[in-house]
Amino acid sequence: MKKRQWLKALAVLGAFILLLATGGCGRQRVMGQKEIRIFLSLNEMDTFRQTLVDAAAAKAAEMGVYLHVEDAHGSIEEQVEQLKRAAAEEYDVILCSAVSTDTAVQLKMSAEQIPIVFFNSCPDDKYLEAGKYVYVGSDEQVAGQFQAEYVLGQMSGQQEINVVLIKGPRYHSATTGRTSGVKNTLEASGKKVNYIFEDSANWDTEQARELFALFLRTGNSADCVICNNDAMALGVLEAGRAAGMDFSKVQVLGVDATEDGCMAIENGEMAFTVYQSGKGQGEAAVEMAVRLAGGGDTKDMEGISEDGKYVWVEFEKVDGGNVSQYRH
Amino acid sequence: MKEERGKRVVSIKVKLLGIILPMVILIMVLLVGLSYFISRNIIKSYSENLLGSSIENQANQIEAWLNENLAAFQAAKRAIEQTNPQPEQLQAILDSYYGFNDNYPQGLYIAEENGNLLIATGSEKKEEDPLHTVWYEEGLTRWNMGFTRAYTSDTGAEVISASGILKDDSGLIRVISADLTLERISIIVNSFIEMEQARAFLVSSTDGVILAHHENSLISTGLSQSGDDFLRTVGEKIDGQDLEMAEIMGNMTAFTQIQGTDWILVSYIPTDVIYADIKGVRTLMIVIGLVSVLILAVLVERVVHMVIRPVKGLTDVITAMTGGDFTIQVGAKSGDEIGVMSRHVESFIITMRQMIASIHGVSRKLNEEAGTSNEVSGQMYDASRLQSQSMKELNVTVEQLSLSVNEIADNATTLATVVADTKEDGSQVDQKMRETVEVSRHGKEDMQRVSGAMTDINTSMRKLQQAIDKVGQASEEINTITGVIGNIADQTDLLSLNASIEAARAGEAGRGFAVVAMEIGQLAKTSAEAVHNIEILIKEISELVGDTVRQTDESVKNIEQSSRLVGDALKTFDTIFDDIDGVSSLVQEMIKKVEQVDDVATNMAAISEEQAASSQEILATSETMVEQANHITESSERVSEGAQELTASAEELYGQVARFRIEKEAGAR
Repeated sequence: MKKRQWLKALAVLGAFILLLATGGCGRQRVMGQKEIRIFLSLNEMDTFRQTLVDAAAAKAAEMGVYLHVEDAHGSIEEQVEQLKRAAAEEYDVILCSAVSTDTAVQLKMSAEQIPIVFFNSCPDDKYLEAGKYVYVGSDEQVAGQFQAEYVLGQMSGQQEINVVLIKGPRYHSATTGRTSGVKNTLEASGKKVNYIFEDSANWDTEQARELFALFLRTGNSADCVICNNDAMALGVLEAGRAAGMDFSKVQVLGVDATEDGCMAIENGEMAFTVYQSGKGQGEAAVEMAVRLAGGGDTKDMEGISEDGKYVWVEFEKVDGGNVSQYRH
Repeated sequence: MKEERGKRVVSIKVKLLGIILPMVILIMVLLVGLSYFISRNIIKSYSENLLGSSIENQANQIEAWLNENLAAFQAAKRAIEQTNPQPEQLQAILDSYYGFNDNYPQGLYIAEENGNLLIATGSEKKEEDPLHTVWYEEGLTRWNMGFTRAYTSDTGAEVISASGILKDDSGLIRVISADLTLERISIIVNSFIEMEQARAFLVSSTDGVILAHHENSLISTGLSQSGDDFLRTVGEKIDGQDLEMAEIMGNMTAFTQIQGTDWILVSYIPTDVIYADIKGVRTLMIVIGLVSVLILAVLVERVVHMVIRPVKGLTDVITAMTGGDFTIQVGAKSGDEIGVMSRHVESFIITMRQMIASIHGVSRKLNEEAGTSNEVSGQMYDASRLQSQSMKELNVTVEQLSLSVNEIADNATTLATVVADTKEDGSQVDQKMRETVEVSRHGKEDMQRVSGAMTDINTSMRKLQQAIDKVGQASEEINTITGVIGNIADQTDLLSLNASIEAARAGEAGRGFAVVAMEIGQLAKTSAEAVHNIEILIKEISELVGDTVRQTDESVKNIEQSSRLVGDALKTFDTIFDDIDGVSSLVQEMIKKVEQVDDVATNMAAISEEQAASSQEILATSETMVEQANHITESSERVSEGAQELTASAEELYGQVARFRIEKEAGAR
């Protein structure tokens, strides 16, 4: 009888703690002296990052750690300021999507000895260090590889493929990663691949539209248009639509599986996109942060690279067959 | 001293040097080796870092240089696109870029899709078919200007072009381009090398063509076709997309990608160059090591020399001492261990002197005593030999004794057996005796019964005699009676006759009567006859009784006689019985005795066996004694020999001791 009462009391207490844990997000809790405190500095909020931050917050609540989120609004200075503050307030770990990955050294300095989990944009390999400065994200090469694999699957009968590549900003890590993923995979297929047009549209729909319109003027015909992101793919679609292009013959591919991108796939204009799991990245970032805060082992972390500097979150392939799952 | 020379005397100095110097050299070698190894690693990683940052900076500078040029072209292109110049204006712009920068002396030029080529007025550029040039074809694939692959331009120069579509309102597809010579790029590449003696070259990762190299002849050639192993290996590595720093053919080689292009900058430095410094350091260290070893050798030699100088004096003293010369004086008086040693040696010499002197005396005495002891030992040897002999004899005797004892033991055993048998027989005799006694007893009892029966018979005889006597008396009485009866019968007969005469008279009446009277007469006659017969019978009976009485008397007499005889026999029987009883007791006693004898014999047998065993032991002991006696003899023989040797030794000792000189004047001895 007594035992049961005990159990009941325990259950009530447990439920209370759970309630506190789930409802206590964004508020500093007093319970438990060793509570892990995480500071998240965001470069600039967008829909993708919102998904990521939401997932991170949910994960933090689930793991019973405190997560504080701040937006740098695209300002390097503000981000540096934020990290200095995080250091002063003795946070255990910092989650950071760098406004500019070139500032990695400055960011590390500002954070003093606090470990940093970079996400969303990847600093140079030499600035990372296993167990201290790690990157959580998706391997951009894999996105390009998925695009190229899709193209190769669609054009298995052709020995020569004419490819238009619409790339992101010239020095952006996503641009180089995705592009080399595409090129390496196509090259490995042994087919003759002609890059009949290859230029940067800086992630921008309008620039991409203009570029593709310009390409159409050259009179060359493309088998596929591989874009580094969905926004640019939408620009390509616009230009193609204006020129009365048959998108069943010219495959347009993007990355990100944005709402518009998914719609274009549903319309049958866009062929393929790659979903970068913002949720997966947000969760992995928090899990990694907790491990770093505990000074714990990161070797058995899911998706960890061999050198321990990266945690790769899987990309997901999106085409006409499964696009409905990615609509919001 | 001279003898020891033959044994190769190694001096302490040589020994110390022999140990210290190799150790020092070994340590030096280890130190030099270790420092060389550590320094080499440090220098290697330092060089790697240096080469890494050198190539990084070089790449950045090349990138900056390329971007600077590209930006200039791009700016011009933007200007053209935004201003939409008239042909003359466009010509003016192109002219203004001609010779404007010596990186691209030909300036900008434009090809139109209809095959028109627009060039600066002064330019010697002359394209037969501009639409099929590398720059046009590649420029057509982009709007933002980018670099083409390396090619040979119409002027015969190895160049790369920056080209892109010119998006203006001309309604024509135009490609604008500018050339950069690979020679110039090579100069740029080589002038940005930061690390001394490092070399660099630029390769296109797509086709493996060398874009820039300090050897101009290599420019525009493919890495894979190169005759140089190093370049080929680099080519393989780039093909494998392996851009890690590595040591290739004795060159530390670093790779880096030039951002915005597919070019790879390769920078290398021969490891010999890297290790040249450390080799210098190594040589220096070896020299320092050698010098230190030499200095140390000299130093050690000197120190050791100084330290062991007194030892040399001491060595001389000890050598002299070894030669028997105890007259020598120890000179060294230093305060260290050697001084202490010297002092002790000196006191040792003094002690030795005294000791030798006393030994001298003692040895003489010993010599004499050895002689005596030799004699004594000779005598002892003889005595022991005698003893041994006696012992042997004793042994023989003991052996015989042992044999005898054994025989006794055997006999005793036999005796015991016999006695045991006898005892067995005695028991049987006893048994028989008992049976005999029993029988005798029965006999005696029977005799007694016979005697009883005899007495009864005697009594019966007497009663018979009495009865017979009574019968005799009765017969006489009968006789009397019969006489009476006879008389009666006679009278009766007479009466009957008278009655018969009367009955004859009485005639007929009297006839009956006459018959009765006749009958009575008859009866009387028969009675008279019967009586007569009785008389005869009685007579016979009386005779028979008389005979019987006689015989009875005789029987009685006989019986009495027999009874007497039986009584005698009984007595005799008693005597016999007693005798037999006595014999039985005797036999039993005899058996007891025999048992005692048996026990004694058994004991004796046991004892004699023990004796036999003991005698064996005695025999064994006496044999051991013989052996020991032999040993004693041998020992005494050895003692004798020893005594002889002792004598010899004593003499030698005497001689030896005589060698030590303890007095200066006694040196002659």
